[in-house]
Amino acid sequence: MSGGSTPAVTTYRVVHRTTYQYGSTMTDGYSVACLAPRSTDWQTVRSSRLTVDPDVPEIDTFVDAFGNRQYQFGVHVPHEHLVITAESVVDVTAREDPIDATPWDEVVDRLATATGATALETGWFRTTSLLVDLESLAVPLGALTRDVFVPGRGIVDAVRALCHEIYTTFEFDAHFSNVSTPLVEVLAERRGVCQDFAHLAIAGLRSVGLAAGYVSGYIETVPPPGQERLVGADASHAWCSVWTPEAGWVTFDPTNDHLPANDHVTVAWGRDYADVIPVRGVMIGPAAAQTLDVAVDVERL
Amino acid sequence: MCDAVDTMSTTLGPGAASLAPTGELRRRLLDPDSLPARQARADRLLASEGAGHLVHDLPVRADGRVAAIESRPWRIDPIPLVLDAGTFQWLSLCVAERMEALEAVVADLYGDRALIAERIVPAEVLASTGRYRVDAVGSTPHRWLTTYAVDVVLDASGMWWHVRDLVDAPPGLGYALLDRSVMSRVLPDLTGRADVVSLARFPTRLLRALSATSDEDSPRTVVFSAGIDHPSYVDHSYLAVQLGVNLVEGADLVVRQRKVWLRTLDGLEPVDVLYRRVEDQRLDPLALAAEGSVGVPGLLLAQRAGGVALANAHGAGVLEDPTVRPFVRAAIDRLAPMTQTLPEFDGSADSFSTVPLAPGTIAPDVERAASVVRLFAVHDGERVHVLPGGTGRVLAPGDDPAEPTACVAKDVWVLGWSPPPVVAPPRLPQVDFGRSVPTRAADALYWTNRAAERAEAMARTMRVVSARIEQDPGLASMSGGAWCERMGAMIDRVMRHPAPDSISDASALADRLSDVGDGVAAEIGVLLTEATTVREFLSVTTGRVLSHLAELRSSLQRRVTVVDDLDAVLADFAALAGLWQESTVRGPAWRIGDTGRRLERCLVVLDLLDGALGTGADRPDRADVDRADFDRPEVVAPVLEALLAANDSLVAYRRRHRSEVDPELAVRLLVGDASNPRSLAASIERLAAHVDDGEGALGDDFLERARACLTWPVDRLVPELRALVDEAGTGMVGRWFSTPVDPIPMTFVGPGSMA
Repeated sequence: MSGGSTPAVTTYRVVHRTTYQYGSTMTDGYSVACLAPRSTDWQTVRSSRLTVDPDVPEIDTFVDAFGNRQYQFGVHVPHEHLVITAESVVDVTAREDPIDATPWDEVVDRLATATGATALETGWFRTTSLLVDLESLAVPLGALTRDVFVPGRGIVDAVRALCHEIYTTFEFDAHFSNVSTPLVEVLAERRGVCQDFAHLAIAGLRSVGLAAGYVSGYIETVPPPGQERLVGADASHAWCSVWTPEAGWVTFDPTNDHLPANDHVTVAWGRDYADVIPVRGVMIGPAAAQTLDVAVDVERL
Repeated sequence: MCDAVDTMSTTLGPGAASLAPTGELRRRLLDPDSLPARQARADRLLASEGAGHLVHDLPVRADGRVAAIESRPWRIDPIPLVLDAGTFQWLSLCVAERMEALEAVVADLYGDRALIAERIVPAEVLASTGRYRVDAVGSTPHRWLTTYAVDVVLDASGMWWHVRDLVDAPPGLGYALLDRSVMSRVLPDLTGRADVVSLARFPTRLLRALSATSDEDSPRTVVFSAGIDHPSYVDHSYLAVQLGVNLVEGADLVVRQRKVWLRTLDGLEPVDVLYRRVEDQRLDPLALAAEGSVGVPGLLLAQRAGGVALANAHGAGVLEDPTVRPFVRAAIDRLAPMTQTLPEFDGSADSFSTVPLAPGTIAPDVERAASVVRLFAVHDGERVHVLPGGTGRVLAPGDDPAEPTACVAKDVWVLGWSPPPVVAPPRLPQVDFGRSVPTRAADALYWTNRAAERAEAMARTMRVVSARIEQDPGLASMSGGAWCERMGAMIDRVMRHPAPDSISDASALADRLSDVGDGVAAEIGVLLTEATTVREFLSVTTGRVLSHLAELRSSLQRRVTVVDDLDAVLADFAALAGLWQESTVRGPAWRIGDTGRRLERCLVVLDLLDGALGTGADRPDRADVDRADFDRPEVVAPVLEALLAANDSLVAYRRRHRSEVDPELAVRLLVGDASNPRSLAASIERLAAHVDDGEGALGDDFLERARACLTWPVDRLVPELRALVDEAGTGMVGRWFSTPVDPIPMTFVGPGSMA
């Protein structure tokens, strides 16, 4: 991916449009949107803008406990649809491959006794979270991690191996799972989507004592040869990050079996998907079927 | 005071290892001649005092937790637990210190996080429990803990143990006040003479503490409850009455412009302080790891923006998490070491001090039992105030003090202690509560009154028919059972039976009558449930009448109904109606309730006319009885008498007309005679007055059309006016209350999945 011809900085425009159609008229609605890309060492946000239809009088923003910017707003007039559009332009600097050969088991020891900033930074990410229930996964995870985490193996090397293991032994299947499919089922059926693979990798890393987080964002898609790039055909994407003593947080993408260089746009991170759901909320009105349509467009400028 | 504290140790000495009353007090409390009567009175008062009347119907435990085993009513043992002044002084010092220490711990966990950085409380433990509220990290409320409760237990050697802290929405203070209210009536002379410290000032202290959480000079405070399904609802409701503030539920509140507002009949009114009885995880459905649907969307945004204060602050409940609790003591030692500490109960102590239960009354199999004592404290921004009392929970043999299984409560008396000087009450907002009616409360007041009117009509009809047949058994067989048929029809109509079979003999009528008891009981149940949610709008006397009705209801359900029981029920309904007229401030709340009552009264009169006169069109069974039988004077007169009596209008008729009851005159008295308060005309004119007062919710042409109906013959009047009244009632409920308010979650889709 990071060949010599790749420019050092890539600029992306991302448009993420979420459309709800309610079967009847809602009198009130409240939403939280986690759609603003965050600035990182390798990513600069040039602009980011949220628009809501029906128009809302104000959009509040706040920074959550993980440093992500969240939008919150309410539609307090009768409405039958809700369209939330986030449009952002970001510069992504290509990253070198991370280097850290610290044995993973040594990293575990350091984390287990960490104090100060390291404890604050990593403690969140070492244990069961809402969607990553280590207890229910303990036995099936053993098969996944046994061959990867051999004593003394370097941390980055081990992460690459885990990534590869998931990539090769699980099948991507956009129709198999949804947000409520439990991870044990993904493990049993060996199929799922990027979110499942990210949660799986996180579970594997946490189960051996490492600190791993969930990253939400976008990936540039390249159309098949000879075809036009389809606007809006992209999707939001999920990958992971793991804490290393030398290279800091190292991100990796088990769905694509690689370590992101410059093709990923980072929006937010948290313990798992539940911390960084792109759009969530409640509406008030008669219960009726609601439909949801998400269109994402990632364009290289 | 310091000397007193220094000489007091955690061990009070073997001789003092009891919470039992001693000496003269003991002799009088345990007097076997008066104990059973006291127990009976305590049981009755618990049901009748203030909001207590639903206690026996709800799965409550004295501390408010859902009964783990089964739902059982709780009772108050008339023998209190007794703390001497020295013991209470020392315990309250421990409580105050611990509350301050816990405040420091919570503030650190969401603020500087030194405890996490130093691994005193491992981040991993916090990260894996939903009770550590991620959304509260970095928030800076005035105080985290405005209220606090702690369970303690005394062992047989005289050692006090700390059992657990309650810091989220500490339950039980309402019960403590309720227990005391009951006890002071069970033992009026004793509580006065034995130098028992009064709890009367504590609600003011609590209100002051709640006000201190807000920047507003004169903050508007409400009690925020999860509603009548919450096991501690009685606790919440009793507290709201004691504090004199509105009891609200999530659906009553709305967030706009980063502030919280109460939905009232007059529109949105600002709320500054939520005394929340709702647990952390359920406060706001938009929060991370939110649970349930009782919360207010946007509430936490409002709190973060300073638009509302929560007491306790969102996040405080983390210290109740069983995985966090083991680290609390070390956290306290690190941040705020205490001078007075209780050893922490870890399940190992097996010998608790025993206290007397009233022999032969509560739990006769347990001669002596230990109790866990819950103490309550508030922080008013300057210092901690500990309630000079509390609640005791009796422990069954082998009970874990943290999870008592017995449902026996004991009042806790502090003897001979002098409380600090009286505090000035906080300046309260100049809110006219006569005008401020949450829409949900309006809804409940409306249905309370409708249920009362309907239940009264059912009971009176039953009373009238039963009494008539008792006095004159021959009526049953008269004219081939024509009288019976009419009485059966009146009962069916007033009971709202959809498609009744007609009856024509005494035994069928007796069967029908015996069902009415259940019907009245069910209607009283609706009345009590609705009334419970608006306890703060009803007078204390009304509460007593309601609880008396609750007792009568059980006898109605047991089918031992006799005319005397019905008379008692009717007297209660008369009392309720009178209190509603004479003890309720005129305002929107009153008008809405009264509108409900008048609408229902119209329907009742129509139902009874329909049944007695056979005006209904759908009577396929009428062929069973010769039509001419109905027109015989010996049938007509007793039917009309029963119709008038069931509408409480027989005396009015007799005073006006000396003749045998005449059909035309009887109908006129019930329909068009506005001087008879039971007539349709009177009810409609009353509704007209409400419309004039500005509650034009009945619809513009309702009155015009209703008045026109009154001039029609009965068989046309009944269906037309009934349709009109039903429509007005539905329209009114629709316009005012039926806006959906329960949040529905939006669906979401994960990355990579097909939507």
